[in-house]
Amino acid sequence: MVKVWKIDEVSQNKFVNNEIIPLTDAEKQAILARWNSYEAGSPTRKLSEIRSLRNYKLQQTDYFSLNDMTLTDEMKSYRKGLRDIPQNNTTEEQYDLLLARDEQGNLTNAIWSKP
Amino acid sequence: MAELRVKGTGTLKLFENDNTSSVTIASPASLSADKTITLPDADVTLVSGTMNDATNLSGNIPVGNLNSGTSASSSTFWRGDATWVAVSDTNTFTQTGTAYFDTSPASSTVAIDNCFTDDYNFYVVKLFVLPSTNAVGISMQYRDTSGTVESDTKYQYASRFFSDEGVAGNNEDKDADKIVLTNGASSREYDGGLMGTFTIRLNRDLAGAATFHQVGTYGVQDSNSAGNQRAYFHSSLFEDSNSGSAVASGLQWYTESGNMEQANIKVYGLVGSAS
Repeated sequence: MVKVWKIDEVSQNKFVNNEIIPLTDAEKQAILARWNSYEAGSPTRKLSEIRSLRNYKLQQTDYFSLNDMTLTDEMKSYRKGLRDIPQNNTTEEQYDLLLARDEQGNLTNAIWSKP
Repeated sequence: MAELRVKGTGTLKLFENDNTSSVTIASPASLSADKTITLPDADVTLVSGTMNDATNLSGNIPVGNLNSGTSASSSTFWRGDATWVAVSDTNTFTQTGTAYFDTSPASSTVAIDNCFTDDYNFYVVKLFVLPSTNAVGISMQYRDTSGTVESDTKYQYASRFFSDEGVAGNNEDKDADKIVLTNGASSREYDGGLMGTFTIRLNRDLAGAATFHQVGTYGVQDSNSAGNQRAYFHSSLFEDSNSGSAVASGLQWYTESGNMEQANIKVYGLVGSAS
């Protein structure tokens, strides 16, 4: 769910040359527009992060594809699952599930678990 | 009270041929306080001996009494080899801008104006900023001499980062209206905010057009909850084609979403770097 900021959440001030200076209404509106524009791009940023993770996980198992290595069915399935992440996950809710972590910072979605 | 008076000129000598005796001006213990010997306004020569009660010495030695004041000025100091020497500030840094806040109210932006002048070509910026909202981006823009933000398509930047789980990534853009330093920084103070150092080279021509080249390293924890450390290597350019009076001369930082909770930023110019 993309967050939508409201005008009363924008700070009343900016900090310039070590002084607190009140923002004008126009400045607050511009800041609000910037914040909400940034939030609108949240799904794109999450997908980018997922792609980085996916590529890293694939690189870690690339060596299984060498001729003198045996690629098990589990490994084939794992790598296919990684490659298919973008096409199988298209909503921000799905992105959040893919990026979920436990308290130790470990990814919790089973798709990241290497066999 | 007994009084000893010597009238006329001459020398008063005590124990002339006895170097084992002392001259003591004694006072009753009941008076306790130190007594004062008042000397006439004339030269006093200490032939030998030690002043061993420095706490009772005060005042200044006139500059003219130190090597006759030769070379003494506001830009020289008295050195251990008994000479007046000029203060050398070559290859030192002079602070040209500062910003510090860590208390409410939170701010939308933190800016330092007029910290870049033609006095220096090289600058160092020490940067710490902490967003109020978790995992949001932090960006940087130049400002002109009147404080107007330089938001034209004059920026190009590339940052490479890697995280503590081995994942690498980029932030990059060309013809951009800002420099994005990171897409995510924790809002918890003890996660460190965004902290780093930038070296900036200012190359301005006589008409006022300039290029600012930034190279820096910085780090963030990308999220409050089980976030990862990210280490960034950054290079960017800002081209200021303004030939008028309001040339780029300051910087501002802001969070892409939500307010800024804390900032501690220092800008230094490298003395002697303009030539």
